[in-house]
Amino acid sequence: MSTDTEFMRILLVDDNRDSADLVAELLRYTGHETQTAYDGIEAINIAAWFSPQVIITDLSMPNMDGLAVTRAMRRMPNLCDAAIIILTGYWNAQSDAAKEAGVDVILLKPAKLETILSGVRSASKIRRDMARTQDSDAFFKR
Amino acid sequence: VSTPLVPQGGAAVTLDNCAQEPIHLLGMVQPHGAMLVLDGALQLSAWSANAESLLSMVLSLGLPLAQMVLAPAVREMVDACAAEPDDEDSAHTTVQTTIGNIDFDCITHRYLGHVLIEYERRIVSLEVEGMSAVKVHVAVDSLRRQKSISDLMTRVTQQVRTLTGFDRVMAYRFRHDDSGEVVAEARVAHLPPLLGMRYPASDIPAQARRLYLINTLRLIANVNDTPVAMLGRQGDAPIDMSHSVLRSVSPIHIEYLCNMGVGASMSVSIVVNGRLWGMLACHHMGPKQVPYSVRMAVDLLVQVLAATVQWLDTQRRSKLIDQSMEVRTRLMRSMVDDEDVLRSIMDDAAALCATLAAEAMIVCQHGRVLVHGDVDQTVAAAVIASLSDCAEELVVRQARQEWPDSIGDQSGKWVGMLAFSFDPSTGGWLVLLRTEQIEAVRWAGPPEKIITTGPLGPRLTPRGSFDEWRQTVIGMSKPWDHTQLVIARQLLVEMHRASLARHAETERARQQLFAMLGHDLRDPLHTINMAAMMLELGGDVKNLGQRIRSSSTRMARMVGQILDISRIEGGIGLGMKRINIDLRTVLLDIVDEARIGNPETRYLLTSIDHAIVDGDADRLSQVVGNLLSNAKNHGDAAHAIDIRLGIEGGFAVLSIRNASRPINGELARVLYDPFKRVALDNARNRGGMGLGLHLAHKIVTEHSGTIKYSYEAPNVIFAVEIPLALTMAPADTPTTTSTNNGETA
Repeated sequence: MSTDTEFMRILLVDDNRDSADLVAELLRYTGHETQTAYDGIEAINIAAWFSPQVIITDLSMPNMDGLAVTRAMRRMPNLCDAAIIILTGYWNAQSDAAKEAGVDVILLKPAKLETILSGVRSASKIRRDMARTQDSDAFFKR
Repeated sequence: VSTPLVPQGGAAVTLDNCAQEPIHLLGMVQPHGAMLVLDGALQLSAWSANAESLLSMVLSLGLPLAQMVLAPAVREMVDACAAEPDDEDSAHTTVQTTIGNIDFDCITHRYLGHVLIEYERRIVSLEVEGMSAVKVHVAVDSLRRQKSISDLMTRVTQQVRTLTGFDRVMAYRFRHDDSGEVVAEARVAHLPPLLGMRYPASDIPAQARRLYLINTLRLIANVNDTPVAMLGRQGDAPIDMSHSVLRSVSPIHIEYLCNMGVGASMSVSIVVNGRLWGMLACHHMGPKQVPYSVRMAVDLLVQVLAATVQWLDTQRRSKLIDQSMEVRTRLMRSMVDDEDVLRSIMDDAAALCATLAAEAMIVCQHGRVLVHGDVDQTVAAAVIASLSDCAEELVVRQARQEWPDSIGDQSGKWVGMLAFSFDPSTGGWLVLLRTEQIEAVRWAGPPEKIITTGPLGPRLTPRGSFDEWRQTVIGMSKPWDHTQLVIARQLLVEMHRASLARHAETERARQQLFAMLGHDLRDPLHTINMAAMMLELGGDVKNLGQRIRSSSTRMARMVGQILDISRIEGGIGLGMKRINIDLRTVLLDIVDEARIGNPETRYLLTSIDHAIVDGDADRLSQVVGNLLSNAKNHGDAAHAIDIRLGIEGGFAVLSIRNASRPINGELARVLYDPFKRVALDNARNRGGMGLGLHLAHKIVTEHSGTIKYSYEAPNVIFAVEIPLALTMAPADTPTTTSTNNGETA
């Protein structure tokens, strides 16, 4: 497994409990720290104290879907820089709406563990780059 | 020297050749009047043999008009008539005159270069005629107020009888094939009724029909009178009496009247849109001469009748078209929206039959056949089978011989058929049926008193005529008329449109479904994939096997549903094998299974009776399984799922209730649709794609049962009713009941 990865706090959100549990278990196996939530409300509650660096959420869920979860998390001060990944069976997921909501990467089910891990890496990189750009913007504005 | 003017070289007229008899050129007039004919030079060219004595005139060939002894009014009229252009109309002009002590109506018209002057004896006083003018006015007024053709005809026969005093006045209506039916009758009580009688078209030969069209009123004052010959120049053709009032009639017709015991007759044509639509036939048992003015009054009355018929007919057509538009609009809406196309068409069966005057209806699609009216399933199947080789979209049959030979006598009494191929890709047919006409005719009973058979045989009697008519229409239905075919074509166009719209909607939904299936299958596949990875890595995760099993079960269920749907869509059906089964056993098994699969869910068997139904156990398990899984997925987990099975009025009634919010109205409306968007968009439904209830509904319907959703706060209730098996006879019942007492949970 990828040894160069830094170990991160990852929150798994999926109403399919088996899916959430198994992905969390595999990520834990590769050294990451994980939590699982089975719906959007639970996800927000856990995220509040867990402050995940990466959130992997399903798209289609009852009450609060993946995009609503993303929007809510982006408003939370401790999560505005978190990498958010959608993991869904909907290959034609509304990617524009997803980007708008603040999603960094969309992954398609069924996904291999390597794919999920590389998704985690690229989403984190996107977030780091964005943070750097914002910093320099802030520098020039000063 | 004058000689009788008669048709040359004609063979004796018989029933077989009477259609060739030149009845307008018979060269005879009736003896209650006399005729003078002037040629183009206004010289006498022909006259009836009785003219000299009746009119007290001395006549000779070539006598100029100027030298003829005529009353001044008559001369004035003849001069005016001679000055008229010679056209087809040949309008009559008339004056009253007296010669000696005999009163005459003198009637003049011009035709084919001749001026015909007819003197007809008038035997009614002027007072009586004055009376009839008032009567006519009243009669016309009353005719205009009739609301139906049938009322109109009844009224006109009464009025004509009052005006003329005939013993019997019948109204004939000619049908599509020119055969006639007596549709109204006014008569003296002792005469046998002829109402409802039908006559073949051949009863009025073509040349008579032509005369009826151009000269709408004809009187035979006394059938026993000997006609009077016309005299003229030797070698001259007989005078054309098409427009004459004194023309004598064919001996064949006289025999017909004699056979009926008729002494005098008058007929008045009802001409609508240039076609001989009907006729008034007036019969008197003795001689009867109706004065010219009264005849003209009757003629006027009948023209008002014809105009009213035309107006009523136009009204009827436009009403029919309006009505058909209404049916069509309703049908289109339900064909597009309703889940069950055949049922939605059947809902309009009565209206469709009424609009197109059909007696029964069959609809068929995907090999499923539904009937309306007195058609049994075997006949319906044979009728549908007889359409298998038809490439036309609208198949019209109105005679037995138009049906394929293969049908034999399987079509039973049905002879007329209008079949719409409303959806060829699914074998969609709508078939309207009519019985053989003979079936449809009410026959008022044989008029026994008029069976006198003359020298030319029995055909020249109403009874003989009826038999003749029956021979000509055997194996025929009433044909589909022009208006009905127009309506049918419009209907077909709209039904095609509805079918296309429906296909487009199904196709769209199917695309969506398959896309959805692609997505939804990915989810359990993902879980299995992750579990496999876990196994590879040797990780220790709780219930790994069960997780794989539940995901693969979910996938298997989805694939199964898709297969079922494609079976239904492809017209194969669900392929059920039905035997007598106890629904209780099915129910208990599936509840056991559910309890194992969902240990955290509580299933409460409130009361479970035995119920033997003729059913497919696997399919019924599928229904119960679906309802239980819906109850688990959508219900409030804090409450138990309440299950009941009982018997009510010959039905097994199974209900499953769970605490939940009511199903929202939009979804409730399309609950059993296969491709319901509301359900597909609902993430809570991810396991089922919304197909489960559709299939449950199909299965229950194929068991002749029903499935119903209701809400009784706080419970959502799904109730399934299936008819008990016929073999669940009283003898079986005690066994069932005794087990029942001991085992109710």
